[in-house]
Amino acid sequence: MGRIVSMKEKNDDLKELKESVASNETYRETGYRSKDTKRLATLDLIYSAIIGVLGGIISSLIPFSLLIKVWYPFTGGTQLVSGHHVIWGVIVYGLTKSKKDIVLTMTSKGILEFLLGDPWGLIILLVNVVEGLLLSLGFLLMELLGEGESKLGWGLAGALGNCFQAPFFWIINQRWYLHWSLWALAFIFAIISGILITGLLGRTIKNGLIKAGVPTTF
Amino acid sequence: MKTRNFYILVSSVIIGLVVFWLIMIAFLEFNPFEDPDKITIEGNGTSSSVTLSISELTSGKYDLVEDKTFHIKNSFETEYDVVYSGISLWSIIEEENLIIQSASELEFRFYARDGYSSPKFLNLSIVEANSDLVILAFEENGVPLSAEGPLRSVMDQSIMPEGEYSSQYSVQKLATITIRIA
Repeated sequence: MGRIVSMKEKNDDLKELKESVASNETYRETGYRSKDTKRLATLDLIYSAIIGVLGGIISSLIPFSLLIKVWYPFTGGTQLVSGHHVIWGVIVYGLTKSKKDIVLTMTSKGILEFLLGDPWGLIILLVNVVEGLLLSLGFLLMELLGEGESKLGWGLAGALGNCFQAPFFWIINQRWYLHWSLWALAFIFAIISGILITGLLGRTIKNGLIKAGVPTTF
Repeated sequence: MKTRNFYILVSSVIIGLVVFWLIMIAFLEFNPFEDPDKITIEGNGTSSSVTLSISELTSGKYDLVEDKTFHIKNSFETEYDVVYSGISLWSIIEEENLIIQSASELEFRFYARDGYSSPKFLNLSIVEANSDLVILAFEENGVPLSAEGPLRSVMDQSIMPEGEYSSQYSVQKLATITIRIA
């Protein structure tokens, strides 16, 4: 036989709950990391490490460039799929809303790529850190412009995050002698890939993960 | 349609048009539809222009360099080794009687179908003195070159002039070798 709760008891419980919520001493913000602290939660570090390592392995070992090389006739076309290098930063930002985590994730990804024998050696770590910083800057700018949650904002942030490596690698490769149209195409492709793969695909994956029950820290 | 979405649409169309015209300009400059199974050696340093297919290259007429480890260095000074099999470039030049004067008076450069080329002309005496270290590779680590081939020029770092990096002379989708008078 169920317990019959009187209206008075119910009101008392509600009153107690309201008092508890109103009290600064007992009220505790939900989530794994309080918004007002700058310290990283354990989950931030775990996400950065796991997603960074995953990104490092996938970026190093899976030749995404073959998706382009088989049909695009000119050099530089592989920039169209280069966005997958930075997508990991976008996913971790979606789960934690922390720009520090983007840089942490890209750093762990860079370390893994270096350890897996990337031909660029330690420079690949620098490239990843710079990409992380630019992606963070992109999200900061989008938040300031009021586009922090929109597809447009995520696309533009992704474009900023991915636009660095194309000209960087072409410059340190001293490819001055190549035709200017190939330079322009490579740079534009990096931006398009940043919008579509880094920003929009990253946002879709983030939404899928959250819907699947992956805990966020914000 | 919202004004914001209209701007996004207009920006996308502009980017699309820019990409389209840039690709058209690249098509005017290069011919990516050259037969990938053929390579041409030409230039004012050759007696005549010659075009060879992969089956001709591997027919046994020219010196085969098999499973040789090449030391490669890129412009950030990172060094690594790759095993290539291919045909010695110098053996092709010799067999076809391609050059009309001393190799030291000539220079060569690699060109790919996709618009890439090696950075500059190098003296042909490098090829003459190191016939098994400058090859037209058709296999990498025992696997035929596919998307990056079917032919690729490969030079060992040990024979590169100072300041030059062998990775930049490792030209994939190789289509043409130009030999000219220095």
